[in-house]
Parts: sequence; C-alpha cells; structure tokens
Amino acid sequence: MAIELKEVTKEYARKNGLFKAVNEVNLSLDKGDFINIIGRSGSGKSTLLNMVAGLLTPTSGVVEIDGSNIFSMKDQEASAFRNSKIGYVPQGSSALSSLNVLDNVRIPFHLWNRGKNSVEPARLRLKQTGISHLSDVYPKHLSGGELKRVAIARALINNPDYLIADEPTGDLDAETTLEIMKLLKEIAENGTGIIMVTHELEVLDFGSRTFLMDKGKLQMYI
Amino acid sequence: MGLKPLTTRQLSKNNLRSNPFRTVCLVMVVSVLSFTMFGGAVLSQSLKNGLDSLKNRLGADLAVVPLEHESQYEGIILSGEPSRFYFDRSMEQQIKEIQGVEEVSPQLYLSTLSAACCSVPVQVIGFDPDSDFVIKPWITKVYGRKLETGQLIAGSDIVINDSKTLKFFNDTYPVAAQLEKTSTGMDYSIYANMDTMRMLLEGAKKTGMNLSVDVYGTDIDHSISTVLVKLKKGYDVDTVTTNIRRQVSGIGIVKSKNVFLSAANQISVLITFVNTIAYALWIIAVFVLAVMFTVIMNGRKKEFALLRSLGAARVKLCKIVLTESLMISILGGVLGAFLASLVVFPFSTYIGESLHLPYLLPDVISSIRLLVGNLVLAIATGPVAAIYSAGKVSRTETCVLIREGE
Amino acid sequence: MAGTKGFFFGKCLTVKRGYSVKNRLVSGIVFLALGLLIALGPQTIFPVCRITDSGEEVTKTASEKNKDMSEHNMGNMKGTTSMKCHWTARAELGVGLLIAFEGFLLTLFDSRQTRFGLNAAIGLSGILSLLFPTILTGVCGSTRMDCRSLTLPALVIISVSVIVCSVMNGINLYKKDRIGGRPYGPKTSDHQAAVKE
Repeated sequence: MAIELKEVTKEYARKNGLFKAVNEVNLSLDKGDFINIIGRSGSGKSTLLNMVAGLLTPTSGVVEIDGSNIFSMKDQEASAFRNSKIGYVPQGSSALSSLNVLDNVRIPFHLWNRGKNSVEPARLRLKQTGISHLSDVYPKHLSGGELKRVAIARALINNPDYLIADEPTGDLDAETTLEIMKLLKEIAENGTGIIMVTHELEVLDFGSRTFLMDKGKLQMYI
Repeated sequence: MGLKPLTTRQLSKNNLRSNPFRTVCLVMVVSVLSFTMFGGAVLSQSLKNGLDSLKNRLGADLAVVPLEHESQYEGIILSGEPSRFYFDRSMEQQIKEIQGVEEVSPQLYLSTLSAACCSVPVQVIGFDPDSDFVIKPWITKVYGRKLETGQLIAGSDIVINDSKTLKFFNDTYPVAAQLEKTSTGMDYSIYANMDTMRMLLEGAKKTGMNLSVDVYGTDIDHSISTVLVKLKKGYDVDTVTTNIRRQVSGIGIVKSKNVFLSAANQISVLITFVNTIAYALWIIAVFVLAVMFTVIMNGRKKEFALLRSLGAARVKLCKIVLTESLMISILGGVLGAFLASLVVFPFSTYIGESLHLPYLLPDVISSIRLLVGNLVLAIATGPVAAIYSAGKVSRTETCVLIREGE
Repeated sequence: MAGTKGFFFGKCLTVKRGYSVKNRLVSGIVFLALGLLIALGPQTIFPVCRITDSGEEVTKTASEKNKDMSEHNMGNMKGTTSMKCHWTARAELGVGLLIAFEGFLLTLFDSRQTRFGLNAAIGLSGILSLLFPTILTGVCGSTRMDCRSLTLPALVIISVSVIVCSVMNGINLYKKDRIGGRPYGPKTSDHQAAVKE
C-alpha cells in the first residue's frame, strides 16, 4: 500500500508554447515514509504536491493511491477518497476565521458523513499536537506556530494514511520549526506516510529521504 | 455549539455570523424587495377588491341629481363625503314615465353629526323601501327583517356605542344592523327609511337646528335628493340619458358606468405602477445580489480552496454558497414581509383615505396566500442570484483557487 | 428557523464582545428613539386631529368641505371641550418623554441591577403608552379620522415595540446575571491574553 507516481507530467500553456511544470516524475511513498522535497520557487514542487493530493489532474502519467487512480473517479468519489486517505496541510495560515480551533479541526470529519461524534477524535488530535488548551479560541488570536498545529491536527482527524504538507515550517522561528518537525516525525513513526515540501535545509534530517525538484524533474538529493 | 455536527447549514450560519455587516447588507437588499413586493401585492389586491365592491355597490344604472351636484353625488358613493342637495319630489314621477326606464327609487340625503363626542359629519341616506332596488340587497345580507321606522342601518365604519344606538339631536335611535365593509361611501353612511328621516328632521327642528330642507322652501314630503334609475332591458344608457335630459330640466345625470370606469382607470394605472416597481425591483435585487455574491465569493476563494483540499466535493461547495444565500433571503424575506404587514394592515384606512379610491383589504386567507407567494419569490431571490457564483466556485480548479487565495 | 432567529436577536441585543458598553448604548438609544416617537409623533409625523383656536373641534374633512354644515351643527357639540385624541396626544407626550429619559439613563448606568430596574420601568411605561390610545383615553369616534386611522395604529405598533424590546432586554440581563455576568461566546481578548500566558 503506497502512493505511486508513474511518469507524471503536468503541462501549462504559455505564450511561447507548452511549459512542463512537472516532467515525467516517478515517486513512491510508503506508509511510515517521510519524504522531503526541496527546490527553488517555480520548480514545480507545489504542482507536484497538488497532483499527489488529487487536487490537480496530471496531463499524463498515473497517480495511484493504494492501488486506485483518483483521477479516474468521479468528483464525489474522489473527494470522499481524498478526505479519508489524505491529510493536507496547506501553505500559510489556513484556519477558517468563523470557527474556533476545535471546529476547525472537525471540518474534514464532517465533510463526509461519519456519524456525529467528531469531538473525541478532534480532542485527541488537539492533544497530540499540543494545543488542547486552545480549543475554544478563534484563529485570529493564534500565533503562526499554533495555526500550523491546528492545520496538522485538522489533517489528522480522519486518520489518513498519508499526510501532504506544503511548507509547514515557512515563516516560523527556529524553535517553533523544531517543534513542528518533531511532531511530524512522530506522526510518521506512527505509520503515516508524509510528503513535505520545504525551503529550509536544516529540517531535512527529520525525513527519511530527500528529493530535489529542478525544472520539473525530480531527483534524489545527495 | 461546539458539539453540534458541522453540517453545511452550521458552516453557513457560522460564516454569516462572523460577518455581521456583510450579512446585514445582504439581508437588507432582500428585505427591501420583500417589503415592496408584499406591500405592493396587498395594495393591488385591496384596490381590486375595492373596485369589485364598488361595482356591486353602484346598483342603479343612472342617478338623477339636481343640476351641478353630480360630483357631490359621486363623493357620497365613492367616499361617503357628506353632502345635501334637493329637488322636487315630482321628478320621480316624471322620470319614471320616460321611455327606457324600468324602475326608479328616490333617496333623501342629510348630513349631520351624530351626538357622540368629536365625530365627523356622517351622511344619512333615506330610501323608500317600497321602490328601493339598490340598498335592500345589502341590508338583507346582515338584517333579515323589514327595517322599522325609527331604526337605522349603519355602514361598517360608523362607530356605534355598546347599546347599539346612535344619538341625533337629543334623540336616540336603535341600530338594527351594521353593513359589511365595502370600501365605498357606504361604510360611512347611515340608512333609514323615509319616515325615520322625518323623525330626524323633527328632532333637528326641536333642538333649533336649521336644516336646509327648510331653506329650500319646501319640506320633506316634497323633497328628494336623487332618483336612482334602472333601465329596461335592451335600452342603452346614453339613449335613456338623452331621453331624460330632453324631457326634464334642471337636473344632472350620473352614469354608474362612468363612476366605475373612472375609478377602474385610476386603479389600473396605480396597479400597473406598483407591479412595475415590484418586478423592476426583483430584477434589480437579483442583479445586485448576484454582483455582491460574486464579489464576496471571490474574496472567499481561499476558504473554498481549503475546504476542497480537505476533501469537500464540488457539490458541497455549491451547497454552502446556496445555503448561505437561502438563509439570507429567508431572513430578509420574512423581515421585509413582517415590516410591510406592519404598514399595510394597521394603516389600511389611512392608505385608502389617502388614495381616494375604493380600498378593501383582502381577507385572512387571501392575505396568507399573498404572503406565501411573495415569500417564495423573495426567498428564491438569494439562491437564484447565487447560482452563478456557486457554479463558478465549484468549477474552478482547486490549485488555482489556492494560488489566487494566497 | 429557531437558529436564525437566535442569530438576529443575538446581533440586536446580546452583543458578544464588550457587552456592557455596546449593549448599553444600543438598548438605550433604541428606547430613547422609540420614546421620542411616542412623545412627538402624535404632534408631528402621525398627528391627531387638529383643534382650532376657538376650541372648536374641526377635522380636515369637516372643516373644508362642510363649513356651513359645521356651523349649523356645532351647537350639537356644546359641553364637550376637546377631543379625546387631543388628550391622548398630551398623555403620550408625557409617557413618551418618560420612556426616552429612561432610555437615556440606560446608557449611563453600568450596574446590571440598575439596568434591570430601569428596563422594567421602560416596559411598564410601554404598557401605559399602549393603554392611553386604546383604553384609558381612546381616540375619536369615527374610523376615518386621522387619529384613528393613523395615530392609533402608529402608537400601538411603537408601544408594542417598546414592550417587546424591554422584554428581550430583560431576558438578556437576567441570563447574564445568572451566569455571573461572564460574557459567553468567543473569548474576549482579555481572556485570550490569559490563555496565552
């Protein structure tokens, strides 16, 4: 059981012809794996990540998650599949300002019908990410590190097999970055496969493998 | 609240709550619409009812009145504005003999104050029960027996005291019954037979009132105010009018058809006006809301991208947008209709008076029907206006949403 | 719709953050405005029937169109000095100003007990202002006179609004009192600071 990328390509139309943002990328992520992807801005990292997460359809190639091709499914089916298999931690702050921390964490639980009790799993994830005491607080009163933890707790609420994190430590101070990375490592050790895109070289040691993305091509780093 | 499942409704509600200013603005647009539509609908319906009522009220085909008193007669019919005018009783017989006239019935008008404190003058209309064909059908609706001398029939808007009497010139008269509301001058008039009219006049003389029946130089036995005429079948109103004019002098003739038509014309102009405004407003409201929703949804792209990345289907995003717009229009629709009800129902008399047209509020069931119809329309406004932005939000590629949202 | 209703009442009367200042102002100003409407409305916006200098009661319809008749019949009215609606307007001037003043006081006082008492006084004054045109004094006898077709419904609607607002405000104040005056809903910034420490 794994996420398999086979010859995945994404092309965008530009003024001077087609531009390959992602060019024939092969990648495999097992449960418990922790993969880092580094690269310059515009190298295609985010595009790749969006395709892995099932948000963006590749021009060619196959993305298989646990043997299923998400892009051959209908939207409803694919959304439900993503919702239960993949936890997504977006760039920047991403909490809904109209909801408090607890409710923000509960969102993915209720996007698809899972019965009513979302409070217990939400509290569990808040505890795991170390922000139990903030459950009633609204996002505008939170610090950047706390918001990241909320995003991670939210990504974990449906017990996903894979976690996709887009620069989870961007704009954070060194100390907070360290804490977040420890948390991610712990999550990986508990059996969740993680793909993380980052700019910061000092956090790479937390992962098991690191790839470099350059002009749409993915290659092993060091 | 934290323990409720985060349904679409809950998400929408939270979102509306977290932007009170924006929500209030949107709600206001719908409530202005709902106010105008429901208020306008009640207004139009009331005017239509009033017109129907006036049609029934007219009864006679022609009314022969003293020369130059035509407009006063219309005033009595339309709004019960008190007037007096008299001519000689012999007119009745003269008119009866004219070709094309089937029936005639005289009426005698008095305008007076009832003795209760601070009343406006009311019109007392004396009729002849033997020849009458206009008033009786109305009276039989509310009073089965024959109207005795000394008894009065009061229009629906005459305020009667608890003992069901009215006092004129120190004399008290029992009120046999009160007519149904017609929105015409009938509501402000009091009806009596000719003998009762004589009693009223004597009462007036006793208290030293100088009623102008005497001024005219004759007395009640020789005076009438109007002769109502019913045509024979097959005779044209204009022909008979010409016949009467040719044979009787010093008279004016009011054609019921004309009274009705002039009211009908004014009412149709007014209703067209009200309807045009309501429809125009509906279109404007849909347009304004559509623009506002589009702008708002653009500002919320990031939120939708996030929900999508967390596994929300496109349909779900659509539902969220539509649910919010529905909540807004339910709030606005109910609020607007409620405020309109506070204007059109309590102030109906004032509105009718100001319009100088027959104005009869619809009954409870028709009002509820109007309310429901207009609420449905007003409430549909939000979702109709939001369809475009809902579709747009759900169609956009998520990564584009994410990027633009950053 | 219960939820939505709660939402609206919530916005109108339970101001979540900074309860005392905002709610104090909002409720006070609402009552002040309604009180002024009750006091001055019958003289201006929805006037009662007019009275001429001589003390004769003349209405718009009567005065213009039936002058001669009024002259003839005015003897009929001897002994009645003024119309009911005139006295109702006078009474409402007093009650309305009272409500307005109580509303003004509501903006000044912070103590929940005082506010509760003031609010009760406003509610009772509202009942009084409802009773004047309907029962205690009444309005004129004819349905087509302005005081009955315009002033009466206006006063009833405004008085009922005063009563309804004061009941809602009262329930609110009572609720707050029971939970020890602690504002609920989202945390206030003070609370938040404490949490962060």
